Amino acid sequence: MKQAIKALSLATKILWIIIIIFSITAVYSAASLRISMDKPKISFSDGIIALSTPIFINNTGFYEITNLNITTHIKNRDNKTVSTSTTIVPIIPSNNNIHRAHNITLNLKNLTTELPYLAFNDSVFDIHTFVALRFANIIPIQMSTNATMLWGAPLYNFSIGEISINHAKKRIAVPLSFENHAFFNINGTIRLEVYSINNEQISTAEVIIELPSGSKFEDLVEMSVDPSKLTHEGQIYVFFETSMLSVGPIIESWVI
Amino acid sequence: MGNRTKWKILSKKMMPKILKASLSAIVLYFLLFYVPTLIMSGFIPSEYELFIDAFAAMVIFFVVITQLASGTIFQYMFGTARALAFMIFFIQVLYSGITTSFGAISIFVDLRMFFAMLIAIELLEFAKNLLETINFISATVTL
Repeated sequence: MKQAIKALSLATKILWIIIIIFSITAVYSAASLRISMDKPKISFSDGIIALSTPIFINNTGFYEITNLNITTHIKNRDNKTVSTSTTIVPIIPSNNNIHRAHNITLNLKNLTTELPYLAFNDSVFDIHTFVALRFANIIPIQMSTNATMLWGAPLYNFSIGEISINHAKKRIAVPLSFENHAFFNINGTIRLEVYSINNEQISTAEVIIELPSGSKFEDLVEMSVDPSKLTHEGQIYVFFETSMLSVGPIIESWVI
Repeated sequence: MGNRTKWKILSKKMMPKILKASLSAIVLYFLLFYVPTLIMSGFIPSEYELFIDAFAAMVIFFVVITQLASGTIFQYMFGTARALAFMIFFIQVLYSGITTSFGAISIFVDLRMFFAMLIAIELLEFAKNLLETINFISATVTL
């Protein structure tokens, strides 16, 4: 029995020494871990907003970091996930560093139900970031944070003014105005289709727009009209076609 | 044997134990209360400070009482009780891991594997103390 007691004493002593050394080195390693993020780079192309955040992790500790997973969910005002981006780093060995870019993409074309609202109204997106990793192969760590991203409407306060007719010149003038609250420039066209009360197209026009972020668009679009088809009231259809989004038709009634 | 002689023998036996227990208590107080508060106060979430204090108090209590009871069967009984108490402590208090938050960032550290190792050690301690108790009883009976 004495030998068994001796063996157990020795085993517990060794295990305690291992645990204590592991605890001290793990705390030291965690404290010496350096994580930094650079300023995100934003790019736009074909309806996709890409946000690239460079991440630098310097693991100067004694233990490797495995299964690093950075996941970002973007949720709309209805708390529906509209975008999910994941960056995975399988292993960061001890005394090593890594550079990665966490790319968050928001495809405006996926926001089909949301798009008419987002085109004309400022809104807020919730960004939920979740980081999971395994430290020293035995300690899983999870971190999460929430942030909000303000969405500026590209066609904020869009309005069609009072339509005027110049019978002599056979032209109608449609005043258009809106503000680009979005963080991207608007490059594209506005197409106008004017219909009579009989739903007969009486005129059409296309205007090229190049509107920088934060600026206001105000224009009087003049269109030639066929007087024989002209009625006292009707409808006007407006279509926006830009590199980032396509919206329309916006239907408004008109009366002379 | 008079009362005075008895008291003399008792104090002669007990004094080294009391001194040893006091010294152990002071050293453990510095290691488990003072050092964590001084060095690691930034790392320890405030909601877990109470658990660290409870852990330190348990360690000091059992070390002191085991020292005082050394040479008797109570030494091993307290050793067994200590192993059991720590197992229950680790299972009940810390089995779910540590959750804390720094500003808008919430952090969850899953220490179940680490505490499983501690529980395994305490199980060995428990077995060792049980064997020591049996060994002590058998040695006393043989004598």
